[in-house]
This record gives sequence, C-alpha cells and structure tokens, in this order.
Amino acid sequence: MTTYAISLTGRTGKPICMKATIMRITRRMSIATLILFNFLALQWNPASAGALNEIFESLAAASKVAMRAEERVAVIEAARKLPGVAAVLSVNEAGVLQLTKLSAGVAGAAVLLEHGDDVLRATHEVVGTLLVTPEVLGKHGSELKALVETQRISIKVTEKDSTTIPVELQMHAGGPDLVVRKSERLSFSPGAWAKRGLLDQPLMKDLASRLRVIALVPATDVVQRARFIERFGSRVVFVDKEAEMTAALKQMRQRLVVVVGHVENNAFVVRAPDNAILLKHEITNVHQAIDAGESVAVLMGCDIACKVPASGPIEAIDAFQVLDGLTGGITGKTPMEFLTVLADTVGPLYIDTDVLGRLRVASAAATHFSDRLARGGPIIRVLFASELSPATTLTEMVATVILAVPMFWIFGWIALIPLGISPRVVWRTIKENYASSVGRDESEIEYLSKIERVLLYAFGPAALVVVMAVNLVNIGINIVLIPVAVLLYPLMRAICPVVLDAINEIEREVGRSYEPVFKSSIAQSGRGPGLLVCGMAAALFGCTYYTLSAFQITPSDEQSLGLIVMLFCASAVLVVWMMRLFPTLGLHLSVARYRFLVLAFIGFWAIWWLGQVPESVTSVIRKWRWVPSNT
Amino acid sequence: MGAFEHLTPIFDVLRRRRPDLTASLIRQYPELKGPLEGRRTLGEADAKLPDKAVAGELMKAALLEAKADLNEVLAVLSRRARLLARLRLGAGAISLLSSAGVVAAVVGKDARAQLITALVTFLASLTGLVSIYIEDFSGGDGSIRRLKESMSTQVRQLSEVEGQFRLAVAFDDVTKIVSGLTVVSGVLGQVQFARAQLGLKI
Repeated sequence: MTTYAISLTGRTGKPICMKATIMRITRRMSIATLILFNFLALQWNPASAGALNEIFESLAAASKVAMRAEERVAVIEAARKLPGVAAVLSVNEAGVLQLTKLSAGVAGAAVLLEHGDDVLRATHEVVGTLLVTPEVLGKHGSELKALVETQRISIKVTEKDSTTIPVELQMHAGGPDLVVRKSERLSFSPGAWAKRGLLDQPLMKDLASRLRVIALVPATDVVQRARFIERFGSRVVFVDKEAEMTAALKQMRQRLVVVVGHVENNAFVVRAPDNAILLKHEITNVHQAIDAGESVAVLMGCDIACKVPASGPIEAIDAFQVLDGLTGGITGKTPMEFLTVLADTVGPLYIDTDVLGRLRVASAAATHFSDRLARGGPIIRVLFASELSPATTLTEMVATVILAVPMFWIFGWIALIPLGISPRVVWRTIKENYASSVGRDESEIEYLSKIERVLLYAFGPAALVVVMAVNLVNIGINIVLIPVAVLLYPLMRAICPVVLDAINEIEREVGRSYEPVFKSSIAQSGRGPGLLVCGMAAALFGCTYYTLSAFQITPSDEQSLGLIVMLFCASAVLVVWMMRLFPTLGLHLSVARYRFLVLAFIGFWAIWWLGQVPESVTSVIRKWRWVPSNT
Repeated sequence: MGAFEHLTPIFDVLRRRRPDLTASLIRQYPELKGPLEGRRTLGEADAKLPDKAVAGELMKAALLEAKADLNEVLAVLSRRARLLARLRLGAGAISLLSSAGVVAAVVGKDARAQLITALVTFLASLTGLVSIYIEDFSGGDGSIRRLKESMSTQVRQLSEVEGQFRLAVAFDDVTKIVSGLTVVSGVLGQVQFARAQLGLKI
C-alpha cells in the first residue's frame, strides 16, 4: 500500500470531516443534474421532442384563437353601440374572414368569406360604418383600401375596450395609403397599428437615456446651435459637412436617433447664409445608416413622410418646435406618449413600422443599476473570488457551494447576476422567449395573464439557465475548446480538495483504511490533479472533435453537452487512477504546472493541426478504432 | 428653402439689435412674421422673390446693423489682440530680467534666489506661450488672428454690397437687391459666429 505524502487540513490544522457536507452537496447536485438531464432527455428522444413541439404548437394555436375571440367580441360590442346600419369584418376561430351585418344594434347572420377578394363583393351593399378587427386591418389592407376608394365607405378599427379608430386614406411617398388616425395629428400605417402594443410599453425612460440628436445646422447659425445645446447638451451632434455626417451616423449604435434638418426634395441639405450648399445627404441613406446601427430613426424635416417611405412629419415644421416637442416628449412613459407630444407640438406625424423595429434593442441598451451590479458587484466577488486563499479555501468553498446551489435554483433571479445578466434583462428575455414559443408577436409580449406572469416569475430563470447552458455548451465545443480547459482549471482547483477528502472519508467509513488515502495540502492536491484533468480533457476534446469531423458527424446541442460531461468524467477517472498509480505525480504537476498547461495546449493544437493532414494521422487514429478491413 | 429662410442671420441681428423695427416689419409685412420671429422652417416653401419694398427696407436695416455689429466685433478683437500683445511683451521682459537674475544667482550660489528666479522665468515664459497660443490657434476657426482676418474680409464685402445696393436702387433692380441681401446674410453669419466665439451676446 502506497502512503501519500501530504495531509488535508483546515485553517486550524485539524483534519476536516467532510462526509456530511459532501453528502448534502452531492444530494443537491444530483437533484439539479436529474432535472437538467430529464429535460435534455426529453428533447433528445425524437418522440418526446415531437410531443414537446406538439404542446408548444397547441399553446400557440390556443393563444391565437383566444386573441381572435377577444377581438371579435370587442368589434361586435362596438358595432352594437352604433346607430343605424353597420357591418363587422372579423376573423373567426378557424381563421376564416366573416362579415356580420347589424341593424340598430341587432346582429344578422355571419357570412363566411373564403377569399380576401370576396370582401369587395360582400360589402357592396354595406352602407354606414364598417368595423374591422386589428387582424383584418393588418392582413387585408389592400382590399380595405380598394373599398375606401371605390365605395366611399367609413371604416373603423376597434381596440380591446371596443373604442373605434377611423381608418382613412392619406397621401404618402407612393401615393394614397390607408392610415389609422389615432388623433388629429397622429396617423399610423396598418402595419404599425397592428404592432402598436410595443408603443404602449414603458420604454421611454430607457430610450430617453439613449437619445442622440443629429442637428444639421451650419456653424454660422449660432442662435440655433445655442438653443440645441441649451436643451440637449452633449446629446446633440452638430453636422454641416459630409464627413461629419458620415462619422455621426457611424457612431449611432442602439440609440434613439433624432435627425433634425432642412429637407429639399429627397435629401437633407445644409446651406450657408450665402445660400451655398454645405451638405447634401439622401434621406433614405440616413435612414439605412441609422437602421444598420440597430438604432431607431426619428427623422424631423419638412413633410418627410410625403417624400420617402418612412415615418415623419407630413407638413412643414419648425426646428424650434421640434426642440420643444422632443423636450416634452422624452419625459413621457411610453413611445406613444412621446409621439403624441411630438405631433401635438410639431405638427401631423405619420408613423410606419420603421420606428417600431429597433425600439426594444435601443431601450435594452440602456444601463441600469442592476446591470452595473451584474458586471461586478459584491455578489460576484463572494461567489466567484478571483483566487481562493489556501488557508480558507475549504470552508469558504463549501459555504459558497452550499449557498450557490439553492440560490441558483430557488432564487434564480439573484443567482443569474453572477453570470452577468441583470434581473431586468432576465425578465425581458423570459418574456420574449415565451412570446416566441407560443407564437405571439413582439408587440404582444406585455399582454400576459396573471397565471402566466406567476409561472414565468417562478420557473422562468431556471428555464433560462437550462437554455443558456445548452447554447453555451454549443458555443464552447464549436468555437472555444481551449478556453473551456482554461475555465475548468480554477474549477478543478476548487473542487479537487473536496473530492479527494471525500474519497478519504468514504474509505474510512467503509473501513478499508484508517489512514487517509489521499494526503495532500490544499494547494498541491488541488492544483496538480486539476491541471491534469484540464489537460487531459482538452486533449480528449481535441481527439473527439477531430474524429467527429473526420467522420462528418455533427452532434446536436444535447449530444455535445453529453459528450463534454462524458469526456470530463473520463478525464477525472483517468487522473484519479494515475494519481493512485504514481503517488508523487501531484507534487510534480504542482511544481511544473505552468509548463504542463502550456504543453497540454500545444498537444491539443498539435492534434488539431495534424488532423488536417489527411492520410498519415487518419490512419493512426483509425488504428485506435475498430474499423472493418476491406481485405 | 423659402424666399427668406437663408436670410436668418439678418433676422436674428434685427431681432437682437432692433426689436422695435422687427415688430414694425412684422406689422407691415406679415409674410415675414415667421423668419423675423426666429422660426427655422425645415423644408422648401414657395420660393418667390421678396418684393421691392420688403427687400429695400430689409437691406437698409441690415446694412446699418451689420456695420454696427461688425464695428463692435472689430473693437473687441482689437482690444483682445492688444491685450495679448502686451502680455507677450511683459512676459518676454520678465523672462529676460529673470534670466539675468538666474545667472547672478548661479554665480552667487544662493539656492533660494536661484529657485525663485527660475520659477519667475518659467511662469513668464509660460504666459508668453499661452498668449501666442490664444492668438494663433485657440479654437481653430475661432482664434483671434483668424477672426481678425475673417472680419476684415466682411468689412470689404459689406462696402462692396453697399455700393451695389445704391446702384440697384438707382436702377430699380430688385434682383440685385435680393442678391445683395444674400451677401449681407453671409456677412452677418460670419459676424454672429465671431460674436459667439468672443462671448458676445448673440
């Protein structure tokens, strides 16, 4: 029997009995692992995955049906309030268009319209008002436009509370278009109206913090420049040269960008006091550049919406009124309030879907206290100390593990912070994932029932961790194999003493030995085997990856995760075996740890590189495997 | 751009210097209300030529106020340039005297005297350098030298446009008057810029 040189002691030098602690940790880890692997197994099995997809699809269909039913109830209720004759165009649960005529609030039989073209024929006799649901407006805009042009019918779209909003024709860049007139000065394209839910969300505080104003004002117009600075300070960028314009647009990343400038034809133009042109930039180019930076573009120039297919004013506007409108608008809670104040101050505005596209991205880029906390607060320092001191490693580490496990699973909200994700971001991501799972539009994310909210609050973070784990593993195995080994090193350094001591305790319990099997100081027992496991795991990852790619096997995310766990466990077993075979190995490894690490990585890359030489190495590798010979 | 939009520097100056005249012009010519009140329309309007009476009256007032504004700026510029020249001269003189003092102190081996004279020399040289920097480079386009050059050009332009205006009035040529207004607008734009750089009221 070989005797090992070093013993495992705590800060006071007394041996630490770890059995109970290890058993507690093991039990918790087992439960966590079981939950994780049950979930993965469910996805791995094609039949189970199919069942899961069925459930998600059913959820999505049920959600859609519920929304249609709600819309139809609202529109019928609105029609009943109308005096005289009215008609209602809605979509039934099966997704078929149906026309219901009402006379003095009494509904007649519904007529099913199999094709959108039937709308014109079916509504031929309709007089008075035609009420439509938001879904009909979004999907059958062209038919409704033809209806307004040919039959001079009054169309209104209903909201969830049965209020009605007029739908009219308005002149735009491409000719007359159907618009939803929310107020005298604010009109929406049908597409934007369908997604208006996004505008009612409380994003404005974040968007205001991401506001940048590009003011196309010549340097000689000091009066105007002074007013801009007075209102927006460092948030305003003055531009009167082409190069400045290009640079300013490039700087705009995930922001709410308001461009204020003089418009001639289809371009922003800056003129000197002697009328010479200093800058001329096509409006569409400005719009595209801002969109490329994932920013929201609010273009404020005279009747922009009439000149290019974008949101903007539809009449002549004044720069100082724009300043007033912006100052008042950004104090609102929602983008809708912002646009309403802007329109009331500046003049009629037309809103298309271009404004909506990046609202969430820009607002999400705002930094909050919780984000700063996630980037480096005290919790991270407690849970992930950069270096554990040898004297306190064991107790602190166990305490950390014991604290981290329940925090991770029960208080997922707080536990996600060490991963660099703030609760605010977690909640938004959970809602977005849920919305996409049940087939809801982004604009409907906020419309959650109480039960949905409670469930998402309770289980959302844990589900997010599982999803993230799968994705992270996928990224790890495909792109950053070596950093995986580097990350494993500190982990192993922390875990190894616990594992070795656990083995000691188990040996003692089963009566095989009264002397510790593994005698090691914290430093030597932790670092040496840890390094060995990392190096071995890195080499095994390299070999496996090469073999998989040589045989053109592409593992799924779940298989990749399983493979990593398997290889890591195999490395750990090999290390334990080697440590028992060569007792002084840990000591040598500890002394030569840096050289070993470098050699391990060089070995990995050598395997990887040699893998590219087809025949020579492939033949060697194939000898390791059982490959049927042709001869 | 409308008929009057590019003339905003003229309207800004009139609003600042002659609020009474501005109010009177608004009453007389309601079509000038927006620009005279300082509005900046961000698009094209019907680009019709201002009529003779409007253009003539605007030109007279603009020329008068442009001269007054320009004189004010030139006076401030001259004062600043003189101040900077004196600073340089003083700094040079102190530097010269204290250099002699350093030599004397070095010879005399008095450590305190050496330190004080060296410090005075250093400060004097620094003052000279700062004054040169302010005059030549500070603010780029806003340096005193650049502003002086720019204002000299504006004086010449203003004289030329005044002569042309008299001729245009004599020949009853409204087009020339309007083009003269554009030139005056350019001049006043530069003057306004200089005023902002010098910290004067705009």
